Amino acid sequence: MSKGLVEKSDAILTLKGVGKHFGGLKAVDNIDLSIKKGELHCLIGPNGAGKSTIFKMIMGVYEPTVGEVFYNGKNITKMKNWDRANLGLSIKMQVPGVFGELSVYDNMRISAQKHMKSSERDEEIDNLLRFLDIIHLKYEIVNNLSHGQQQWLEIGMSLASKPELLLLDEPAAGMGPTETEFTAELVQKLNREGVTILFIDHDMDFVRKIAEKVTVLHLGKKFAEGTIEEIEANQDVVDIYLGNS
Amino acid sequence: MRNLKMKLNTENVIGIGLFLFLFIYPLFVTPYQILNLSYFISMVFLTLSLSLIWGYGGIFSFGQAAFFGVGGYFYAIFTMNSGISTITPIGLLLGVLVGGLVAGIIGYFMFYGGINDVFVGLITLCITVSLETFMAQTAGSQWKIGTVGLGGYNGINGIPTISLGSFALADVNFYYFILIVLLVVYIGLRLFVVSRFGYTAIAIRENRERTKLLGYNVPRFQTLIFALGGALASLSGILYATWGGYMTPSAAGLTAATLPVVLAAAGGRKNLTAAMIFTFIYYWFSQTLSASGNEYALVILGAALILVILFVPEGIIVSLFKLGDNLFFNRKKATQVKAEGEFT
Repeated sequence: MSKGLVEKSDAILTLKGVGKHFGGLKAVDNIDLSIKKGELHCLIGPNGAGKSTIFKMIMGVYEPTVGEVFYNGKNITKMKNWDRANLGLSIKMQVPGVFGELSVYDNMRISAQKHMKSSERDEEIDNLLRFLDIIHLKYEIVNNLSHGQQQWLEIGMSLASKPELLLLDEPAAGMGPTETEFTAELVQKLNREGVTILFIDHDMDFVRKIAEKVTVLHLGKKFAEGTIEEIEANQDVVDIYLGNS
Repeated sequence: MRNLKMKLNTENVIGIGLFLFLFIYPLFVTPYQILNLSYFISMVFLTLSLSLIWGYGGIFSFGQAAFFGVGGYFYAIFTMNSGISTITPIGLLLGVLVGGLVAGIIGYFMFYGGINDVFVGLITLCITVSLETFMAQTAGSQWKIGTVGLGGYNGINGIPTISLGSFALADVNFYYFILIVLLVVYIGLRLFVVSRFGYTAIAIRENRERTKLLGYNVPRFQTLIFALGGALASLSGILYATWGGYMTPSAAGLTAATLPVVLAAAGGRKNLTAAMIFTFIYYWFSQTLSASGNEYALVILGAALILVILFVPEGIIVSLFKLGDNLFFNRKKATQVKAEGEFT
């Protein structure tokens, strides 16, 4: 159909009428979403709004029931998830997707070896671990790390794949104030370095601090979109989500 | 080549010690004992194949015995049809390739079809049982490939040993040949598991879905490592066939399929050296106890497996390696070097 069709826009990622139906349940219902290059964009919404399902459709874990996904103008709706990763898409999942039985170094190497030469690999891994402030844990088994450290490691694994678009599913979940602060700085720093970031979070202080643009989802549909100020001033959004968050 | 530097730890010391022992062993024993040890070594390849695909790649297979059979039968049919002894090394190489190819084709359909975990175990079990059942009913004279009768449950006899030129490898020569092949395969596998491919296999074992999201074509890697395991099992079958000069369906059957699984699990499936050592220990026990009834070894093996599952799920030999590291080597340092991807 429109596979291979090139869409001209400055959007790095475009979702067109995307839906995911599980039997009669429309977890995601006819969503249009456009993420511009260099943007730091947040998805918020109550539990069950379809946020993580959208991430999974972007990464190819789920195939959309309807609609199409474009990445840099290329239709990737039916592309295998490993091919998407090699196009520059990377994800940090909600439940840490780290290899718990292996060391921090092994985790980083598994990601890095796919995307860089072995001559530069180990140095680059050290740089990333320093950037994430977990270099002192390089040889630690990942299961021994705190939740926050595992989240950073997973961000590090994503970065080792040199992504253009980074999807972060609740990067600050389960973190204390200091860790959250560090994560916020980290995300902003990455964005300044040119990585487009789409993230999900429930912590409105965190979202307020870093998000340039916010999309609100509710019952699988796009409910509102705008800057954080616009969203927080929107009474409907306050009623369905912010009021009780 | 910094990564290939060898680390001083219990596993490597024992690994080197074992090979040194095996190299001087013929100086002190009878030809009968050398013959026995040649047989043990031929079976080590089968355990190594399972350690590779299950311990490293996370693919649980009962099919290694079937690939063992494919190798043994192929070698027998190929060399006996040709009737020329100089062709035997080609039969060996082709047999390894055929075993790998058969495993690759089966693996392709399984892994690209999205079949994993226990279902791979079931499918490979069915393949082994089918092959054994089929071969066992090939007793009639109509079951011939070329001039070679398949022989039903009695299998094929008179399989030629490997000849290098006009020099037939027998007794102590065969022993050294098979030992050198083991050394080469063992070192090759040790290097393989710390290579890019090895790391990918470990990632797939740990978390398939995550590995896909890191950009790895997981079904392709699974198919490749399964094919490699099939080639190793096939090598085992060929060496076994040349060792005894015969190949039977039961050697590639159900009991034979469970044995390497138990050996790899009890010794430590995630460690090639451990799986190898435990295989030697088992076969030595089996031979020693065979005077008073072969089943005793299986009973001991069964007991060992239960103990392993209860107390040392990572394997007896691996646990002993760790104990040795704690006692004689700086364990923290050992962990660090391992993490650096050195020759562990």
